[in-house]
Amino acid sequence: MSKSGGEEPRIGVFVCHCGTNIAGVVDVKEVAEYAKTLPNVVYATDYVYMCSDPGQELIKQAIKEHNLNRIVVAACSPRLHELTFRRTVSEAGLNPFLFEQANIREQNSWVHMDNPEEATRKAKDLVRMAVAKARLLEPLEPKEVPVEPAVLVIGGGIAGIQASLDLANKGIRVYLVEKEPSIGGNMIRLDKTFPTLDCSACILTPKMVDVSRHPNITLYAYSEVVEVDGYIGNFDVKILKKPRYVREDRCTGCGKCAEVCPVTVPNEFDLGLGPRKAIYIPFPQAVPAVYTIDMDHCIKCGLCVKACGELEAIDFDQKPEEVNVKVGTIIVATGFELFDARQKPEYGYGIYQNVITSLQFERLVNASGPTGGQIVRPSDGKPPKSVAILLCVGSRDQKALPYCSRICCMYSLKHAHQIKEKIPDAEVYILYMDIRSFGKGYEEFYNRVQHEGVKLIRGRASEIWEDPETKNLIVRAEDTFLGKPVELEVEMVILATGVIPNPATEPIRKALFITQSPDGFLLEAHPKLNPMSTTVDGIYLAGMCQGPKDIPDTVAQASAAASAASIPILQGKIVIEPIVANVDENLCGGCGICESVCPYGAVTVEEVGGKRKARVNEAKCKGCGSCGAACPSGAITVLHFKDDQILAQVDALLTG
Amino acid sequence: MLPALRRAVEKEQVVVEQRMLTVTQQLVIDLSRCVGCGICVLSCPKEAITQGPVGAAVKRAAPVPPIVVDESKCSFCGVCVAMCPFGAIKLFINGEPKVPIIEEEGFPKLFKSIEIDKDECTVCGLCVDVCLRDALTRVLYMPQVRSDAAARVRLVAESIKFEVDYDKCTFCTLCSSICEAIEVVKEFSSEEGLVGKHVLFDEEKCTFCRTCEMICPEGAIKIELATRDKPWVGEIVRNLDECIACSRCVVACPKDAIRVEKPFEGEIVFNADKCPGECSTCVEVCPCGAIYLPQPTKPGEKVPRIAVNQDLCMLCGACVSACPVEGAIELRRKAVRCEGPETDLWKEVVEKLTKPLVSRRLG
Repeated sequence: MSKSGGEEPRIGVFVCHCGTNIAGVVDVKEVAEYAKTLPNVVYATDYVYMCSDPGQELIKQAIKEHNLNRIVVAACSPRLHELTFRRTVSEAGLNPFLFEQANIREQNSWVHMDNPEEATRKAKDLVRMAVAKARLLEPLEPKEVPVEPAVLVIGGGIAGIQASLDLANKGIRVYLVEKEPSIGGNMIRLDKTFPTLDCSACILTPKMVDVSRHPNITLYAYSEVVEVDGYIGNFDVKILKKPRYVREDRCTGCGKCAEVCPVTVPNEFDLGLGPRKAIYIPFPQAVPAVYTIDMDHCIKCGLCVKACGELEAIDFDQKPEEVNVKVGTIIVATGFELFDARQKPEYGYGIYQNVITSLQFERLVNASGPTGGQIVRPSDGKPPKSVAILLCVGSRDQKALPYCSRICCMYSLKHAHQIKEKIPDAEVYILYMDIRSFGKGYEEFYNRVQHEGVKLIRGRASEIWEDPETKNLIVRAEDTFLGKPVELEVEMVILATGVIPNPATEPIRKALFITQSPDGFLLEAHPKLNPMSTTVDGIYLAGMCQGPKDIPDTVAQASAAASAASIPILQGKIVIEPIVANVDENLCGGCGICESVCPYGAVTVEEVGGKRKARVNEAKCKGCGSCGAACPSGAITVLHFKDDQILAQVDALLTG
Repeated sequence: MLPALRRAVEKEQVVVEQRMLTVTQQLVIDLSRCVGCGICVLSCPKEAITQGPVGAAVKRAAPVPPIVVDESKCSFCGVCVAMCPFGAIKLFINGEPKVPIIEEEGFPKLFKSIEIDKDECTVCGLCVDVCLRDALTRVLYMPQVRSDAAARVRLVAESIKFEVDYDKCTFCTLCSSICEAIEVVKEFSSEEGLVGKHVLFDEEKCTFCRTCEMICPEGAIKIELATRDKPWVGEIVRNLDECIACSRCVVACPKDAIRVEKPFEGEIVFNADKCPGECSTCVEVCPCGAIYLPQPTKPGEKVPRIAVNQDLCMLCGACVSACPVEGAIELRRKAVRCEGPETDLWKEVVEKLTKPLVSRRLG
């Protein structure tokens, strides 16, 4: 029967009670007795906790005493304890892949608790199927691959900065890639951070400087990751350095070029509120402090070249440059951007001048912003005497973003505080659905702001109108506490817009074969126990790209991702699961369907001896079986899930 | 929402605006000055300007901008402002007219000049009469009232010399008593009696009537007039911003006293045989009035359908843009003059402007 060298299978079946989780519903003794009647089963028993040390010892003893060569454990889901039992089997001298787990808990006792008889019958079916497969199991050898001792960090916001510094401080080489001219991300745009009111730039710039000075960090700013090939331990990364038209090795950041540049355009960093020149650094503390020419607006008048003088840093002929690096693991920290408030036209953003977004307000109130921190309204440049802040713009909205953006309540309370601080006689209204002040010190801050005289109205605004004469705004809402409609006339409106994943994430997500959740954010490996990993080995997540979070949570996740990303590197090698697709080259016609269906980029069609044959990269293959199912000639099988093994299970189910 | 980009036609002008919270830049095109020559179209480093309808293609019931600026491509650099020979484009930064690229010497200004030989000019004002814009004005230094004799004398007198022979003068004050221009000063001292005596003369008040000379009982006064070479009647004042370098003033000047330097060198060729006639669009759009329909001087004489006076043409190319006939007008600019640094960008603009232009069939 067995294909493993003709050795007769001697199967041991171990039925777990899982306390009362299984035994409370399923008659485990009866199942064990039933197992003894199955072909090739030479030993069967039950035990209260198979995963406990005594339980595992029971399996080891049975292997020795009964000379078992196949083990079936009927217990919980293999997602929880498959590795535990494989190790047990291995410790007893068997190949760990001569083990099969039948799930009689999640797929049985938990869902059939009202019907113990049927549950017991189903447990028997599941055990019979597992035994049928166990009979055909083959020993597999895991492979080891060395790990490149370097990490790629994509995105230079606070998440990418924190992860890079943690890794670099462990002595690991880091390649930090940022698409903008400077690192700093969205955090460097902020004025103060809630609830402590620390100046955002003051706490972030030291870290930015550390990044630029750290001997273990190579910073590629104004660069993009364009191609990633390989697998955990051995990723080949192609980075495209976009031309700055300024030589990084020569520019001293003196700024004489920008002084003479005759072209003034809106600064993206200030979200269009303030100006910059066609040759620019986005903000004074930029890292690297290297100027960049915006060729969309530069007219090549040459004034900057003259001003730069002997440094000769400006090079109009600079071309995009490709850099190839090898890394062992990758951290994605591509961050967020604001929901486009124009998609809620009832709030008038883009239509009425005095409706601004929360991030624009951050630049407005920022001492390094275009107005030097003076709060003014766009239509006339005068300080507003009344401001309404609308929460949940886009967020918690079935027509836009169904999720909560998690930061808007707190930053809006902060904005209200800042307006009160700078314009004490201003009326500030916050229109909210709920205030979610869940973090440390957040509720206290909420109370403080309420005592500062900010008026909180519980209700979502329905629409905003502009008085064309005064450019004031009329906000209509329902006060749900009073059950009455309210109408406020204010001089400025701030929309607390929700967050969406940065659109630049999508090409990176595709290149890395990582998945996303329905909200568009990147999907973590496990929402509770592994929130900083992806389903792709060796690729980790940090910050807002995984979901909305505030700065403390972002920093914590970044440090967690750095720690996780360093594990394979510190181990020096990784073991690759041998449950992978296997190509029978005699049957393969080289049609390439497998390559097109593989979600991990693990299958490629290559020329072998003049013929096209599918090849599987075992390190990238996750053993999902898509290729095997799609292969029209049956040339691809997945080891440990071979056709005959699966069909034997089906037969066992139907013939029992 | 900021930044705000806007383009609007407002009262004979097109305003292209980029508004930020602290800076507003406006490119303003004066439709009364723009002739649609297309020099800005060729000069714009961002290719943000395109030619609109000119001449035959447009019936000007409402103002149709002859050039169209794409506000999303415009860098507000001001090269078009520097290049427009008609002063039709202006750049305003926060409301102030300003062209940073010229101030920083990153680009020169289009050069043109009017020189008037003052020795030859008789201030006849014919040049002012023929000027198509307000580039020349005649300023006359005439007395405000005709009876102002002193002012009249000033027109011809460089200076008036008034001499008193103090050996003869008795300080009788007859002269000063009849004339405002003369004052006789006598100073007494208790110790020495009469110590100081002067006859003071104010040239500004003298009308050169010479009565003082004649009335003096001692014949002590002598008065002489130093006349100007040319009477000081006035001058022609130039305004280069308005000048389009058409040279009509040069042609008109009876004394050959005016020299105009044009911004462009080259030639314009009218292939009259290709012109179908009866259209005269080129005549209408020509800002210099250089194009004309030749008239036969005697019965039966054959004249070309269209012709140009090369002396008056300033090679702007408005006629080429407007002419609806393939190959009827050819413009070959050979050189462009500038005032200021000849930067690489300027050289690139010159290269574009010196490519030959030929009129094209409409549509």
